[in-house]
Amino acid sequence: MQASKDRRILSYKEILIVLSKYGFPVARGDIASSIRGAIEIADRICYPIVLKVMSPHIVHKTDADVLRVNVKSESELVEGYKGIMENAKNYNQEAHIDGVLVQEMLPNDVEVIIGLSRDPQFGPVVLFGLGGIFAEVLKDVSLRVPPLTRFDAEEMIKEIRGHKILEGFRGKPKRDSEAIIDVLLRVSKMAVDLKNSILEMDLNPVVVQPEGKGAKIVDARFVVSNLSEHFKR
Amino acid sequence: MDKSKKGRNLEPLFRPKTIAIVGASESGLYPAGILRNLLRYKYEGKIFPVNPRRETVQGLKSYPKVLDIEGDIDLAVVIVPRGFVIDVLSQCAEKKVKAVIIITAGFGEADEYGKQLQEKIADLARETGMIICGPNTAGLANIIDKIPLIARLDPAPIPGKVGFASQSGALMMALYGNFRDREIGLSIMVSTGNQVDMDLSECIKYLASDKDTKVIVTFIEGLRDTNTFLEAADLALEKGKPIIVLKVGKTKSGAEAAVTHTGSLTGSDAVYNAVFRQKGIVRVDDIDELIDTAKIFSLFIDKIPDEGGIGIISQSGGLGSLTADICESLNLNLPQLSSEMLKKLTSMDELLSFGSMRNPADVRGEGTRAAMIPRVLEPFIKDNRFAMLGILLARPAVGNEDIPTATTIIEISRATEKPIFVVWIGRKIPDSGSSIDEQPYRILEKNGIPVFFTSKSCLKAIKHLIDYTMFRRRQQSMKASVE
Repeated sequence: MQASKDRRILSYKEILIVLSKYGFPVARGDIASSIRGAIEIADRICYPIVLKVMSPHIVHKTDADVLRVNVKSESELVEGYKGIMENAKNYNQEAHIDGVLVQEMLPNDVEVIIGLSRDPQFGPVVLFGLGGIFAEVLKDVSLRVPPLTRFDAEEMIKEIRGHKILEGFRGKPKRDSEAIIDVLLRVSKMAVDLKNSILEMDLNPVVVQPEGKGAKIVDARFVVSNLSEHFKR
Repeated sequence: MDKSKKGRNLEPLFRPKTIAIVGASESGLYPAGILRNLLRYKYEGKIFPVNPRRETVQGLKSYPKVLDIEGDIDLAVVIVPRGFVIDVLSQCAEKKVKAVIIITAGFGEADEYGKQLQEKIADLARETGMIICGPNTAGLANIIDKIPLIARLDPAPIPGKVGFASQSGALMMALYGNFRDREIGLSIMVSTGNQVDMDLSECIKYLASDKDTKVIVTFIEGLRDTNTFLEAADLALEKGKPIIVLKVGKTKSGAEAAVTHTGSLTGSDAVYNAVFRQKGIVRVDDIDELIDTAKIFSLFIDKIPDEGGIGIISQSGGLGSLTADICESLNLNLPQLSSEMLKKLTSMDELLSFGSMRNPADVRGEGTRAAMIPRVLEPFIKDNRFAMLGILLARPAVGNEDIPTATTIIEISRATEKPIFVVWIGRKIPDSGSSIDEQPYRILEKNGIPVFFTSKSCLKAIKHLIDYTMFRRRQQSMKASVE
């Protein structure tokens, strides 16, 4: 593990730049630094929207109560914005706040986590799992070393015990596995291009919609090496 | 790894035409043993013993120094005290020896002085480009070409298709006995020692491209060159040569300071497992599973059809049920008997007291007598839903009485393409009065029928083979559809 001074957590703005460079599907939205800015963004992407305080020092947004979903109007936005900013300050006085993310509200759908870490021997390792307790508590995840082939990506999806959830059960439609494969292959390409620059990464959650409708990254976290030329300040 | 090492030719190490044995002698495990084995197994190239204190060694002319040998030397085997190793290597370099095996121990694994010496060896390898195996290696043996560069090789080896690369020298020497006991034919075995130059990954890559090796078995303590390992694994998968791995050292997660979920979910051994899965590498947990799996792979690697279950007959209803449970827990396919098969099996007068005709079929003692086995198996052989046949025997294999059973099974196996395996509870009787090679299970194993003590050990190995075969077919068909 590298000393912490060499490690840096990317701001959401920086993350958006990297993700768009590699063509990742990201939920529509932008960072606001004021209520007026938030209203402008919300008007652009249309209500209902989601509000989140973005800070490298607040990892668990629910714990800190800095997340508002299904915000349906301008008045709800103003109220919500004030509330979560206050909660953020109460949660951690010292926290640096990048701003408030105003994001499109996606339908309640299957969530997956796609990640990247570094193994001291094999280098970058790509991770896939279902969101929520599946990955975190049950550790039901699959790993592969990039570069990934399409075959590798398919096997990663089939390998997790909970993969039936993606195939549609109890009358729910099949999820868009192609979209997951697409994200996995983009992560692989990014890992190969940026070599050892990314120390850890989570795309979490990635909302996977029904077949043909794609997937969207709702949140992401990047820990990069400051020594890398790709992420020099 | 140095760029210059990529794809270098290891033939002088594994197929030398001329060998110098530096430190050869009349006694001592290595000084005498390696030369003795070369002579005993009739190595076809030239041997030059080097020993300044002797005129001859084991009947061959002895040379005082490496530099005194006339002609080119492909390989030098170095068995001198560690203080002399650097000098010998310098002579080898001057003589333009292509490869060196350093048997001598007492280097990086020993003490500070040993570490310094090892550094010097590493420098020498880099500067000269000599291939170095070791130090602290038990050597290697190319069984196919009769080049046994190890101290012990008893009884005489069986040439075959299994290549074995080990990071433990002692285990390589010991496992030779296990392979030999199970009649597993070997192509090459090699112990990597301290890996000052050639490491395990490079050995595996060599075995993947070796024409005689069809199945690779390896014992891993820890990989040094993971890039070459991945290349080796890709090459082996491409060529359809399975790699069976026994790996130790489940190291602590390197992700203690992780702040992402991914970081905390990717420990080191989990990554090894992922790499093995990604490349179709078979991981086994212990020595017995390693041997059983190597046995099944070496016999049946090319014999697994796409769709196909296992058809089993059992002498005992209890053993049949136990085996059915094991198959279910391993997710192995046991197709049900067709009505036509049932009719055939139940119409045999000899099976009057038949048990239950499921799969495994309880054919009782009558159905597993030598005279009956061909008739009982016939419906399974004719039905394409069965790709593999198993015979479960539960009786003490008391000497001669069971020899006809063994010979009958051998005859059946010669007449069908379908792999046949035997689980024989009671296969070995300590006081049967016959020599070990006359025991029925040995006769079966000598003739290509694997015999197991337990259903679980047998079916686990079969499961590995089916998983590997299916993985490779999925991977190949995907590749074909992309191209």
